[in-house]
Amino acid sequence: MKSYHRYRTTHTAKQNTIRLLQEACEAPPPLRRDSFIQALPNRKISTLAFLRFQVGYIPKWIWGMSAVIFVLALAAACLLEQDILQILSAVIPFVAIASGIESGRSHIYAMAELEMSSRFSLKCVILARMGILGLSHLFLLAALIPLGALHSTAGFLQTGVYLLTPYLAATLTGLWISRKIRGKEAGYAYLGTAAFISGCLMYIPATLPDCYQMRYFHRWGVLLVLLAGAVIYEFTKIIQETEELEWNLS
Amino acid sequence: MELIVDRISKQYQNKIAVDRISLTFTKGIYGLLGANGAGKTTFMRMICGVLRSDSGTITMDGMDVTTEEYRSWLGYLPQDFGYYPEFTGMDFLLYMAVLKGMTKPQARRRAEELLELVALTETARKKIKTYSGGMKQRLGIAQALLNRPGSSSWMNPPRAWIPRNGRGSAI
Amino acid sequence: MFIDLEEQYDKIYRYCYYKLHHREKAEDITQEAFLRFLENEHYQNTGKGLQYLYTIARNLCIDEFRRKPLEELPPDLPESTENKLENQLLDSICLKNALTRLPEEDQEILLLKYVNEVPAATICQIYNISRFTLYRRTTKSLSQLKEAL
Repeated sequence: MKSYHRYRTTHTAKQNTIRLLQEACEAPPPLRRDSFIQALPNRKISTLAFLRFQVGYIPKWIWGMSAVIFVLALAAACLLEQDILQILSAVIPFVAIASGIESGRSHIYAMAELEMSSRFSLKCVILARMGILGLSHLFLLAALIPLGALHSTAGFLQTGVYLLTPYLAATLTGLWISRKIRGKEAGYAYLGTAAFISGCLMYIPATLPDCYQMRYFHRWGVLLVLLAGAVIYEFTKIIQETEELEWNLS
Repeated sequence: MELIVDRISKQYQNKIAVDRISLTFTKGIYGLLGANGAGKTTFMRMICGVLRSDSGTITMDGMDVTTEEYRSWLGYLPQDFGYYPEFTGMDFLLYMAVLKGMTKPQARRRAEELLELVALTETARKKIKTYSGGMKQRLGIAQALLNRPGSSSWMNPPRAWIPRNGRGSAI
Repeated sequence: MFIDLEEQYDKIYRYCYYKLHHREKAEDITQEAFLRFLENEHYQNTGKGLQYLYTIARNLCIDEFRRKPLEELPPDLPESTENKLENQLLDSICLKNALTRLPEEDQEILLLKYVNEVPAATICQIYNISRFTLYRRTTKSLSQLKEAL
């Protein structure tokens, strides 16, 4: 106890000495600091650092949803004895719709004008978010496609097409909504779209079971290519529109 | 320092918002007064590089206002601005500072300085949705000063500055 | 190691002011040190940026002394004495006097370690001493200051 008390006393004395030392070494404030620093070629944030920074601003529920879907897929694969492809393709639109939400987020929360006036403008912000989400979805699909193929009668290519088609359909409608509907109402449109596509994918196999047969596979391929083209078109339109804000005068 | 506006025009469908305006601004404080719908906001947005003009040019010391270099240099407080719902005051300033090109340590230091300047240090960790209107305005001012701008544009400056019969903007 | 110039400006200025006791000269030398540091990409890319920056500032201060011995200013009294208790004021004066009695290099080392919070490894590189020597000298200097209080 005595040694602890001695330690405390010594430590406090040392801290006091350091504090007095800091006061003794203080200098009067510099007069030309700000003007000099402004003139310096200060290191700016790199593009990679900016991308890493944007990862932190993607809402956590989006990552959570991807994780939940992956876990659901795993659980379905392990526990269900039936074809899980239908389940996977029904839930994938909810992941895909995140792209549309992120591209419209700045407008929904009225941050667009501030972001447009920054060095990394709104266009950079949207590109960064879409890029990050695109990459994460790529990883998710890369995990789900083999999982679906192993637990269904379809091969890898077929499974890939059957999952990518609803994914692109949901992405396309999400991007379209982000261009056409501003404000918080867009949230309902996103949710409704995902639910509609998901519902269709639950309904179609029940009413048209042959649509997943090999002889109709080429139609899926054509649809996939058309959707991919449409997504690229919508994405290009979004980027073009961020280069100029359109304001309603009324 | 010279901001040169050369015959800029902007038209929305049938309405001409800005009609071939040419002006030169040197160092100083300027106020833009006009009736509702006169085109002040449109003009200000074009000066800030947020809106493209249909014709004409705007340059600051030879730098086109649509360039990244100009935006690095500009401080802008829009008429209305929002915030992401999860943002605290500090989060908002950090986010905007990085968008303006600062590194994270620079952003943190500058955000702390400005929060102290606008007397929001104590509420910096609280969500912006809990802020009063005045606090949000002060946060907006802090945001406009993040990059030590060479030029600042404010839409609808504080009430005390507005002349009786009109609305105003300030450069 | 990336040097945050804005963060280091105040620290380098404090270091130069401590050596020169002249506000304007200290600021001139601070800015000169930064300009020389930035001119040479080698300084910035080696991972020893802070060491180079302090070494440049130190050498410039030494050159300034040799060029023109600066006026010896009387020791500064602590500012805003109204609110300080008498004991604290006396402690402050005692410490300053004790500090000036230490070897110059030890004074600098204390400033870098406890005021500017320069990493120990960097201090060792600047003064070309081992960590053990740094520890020994700072402990000895601190205990001498404590005795003076």
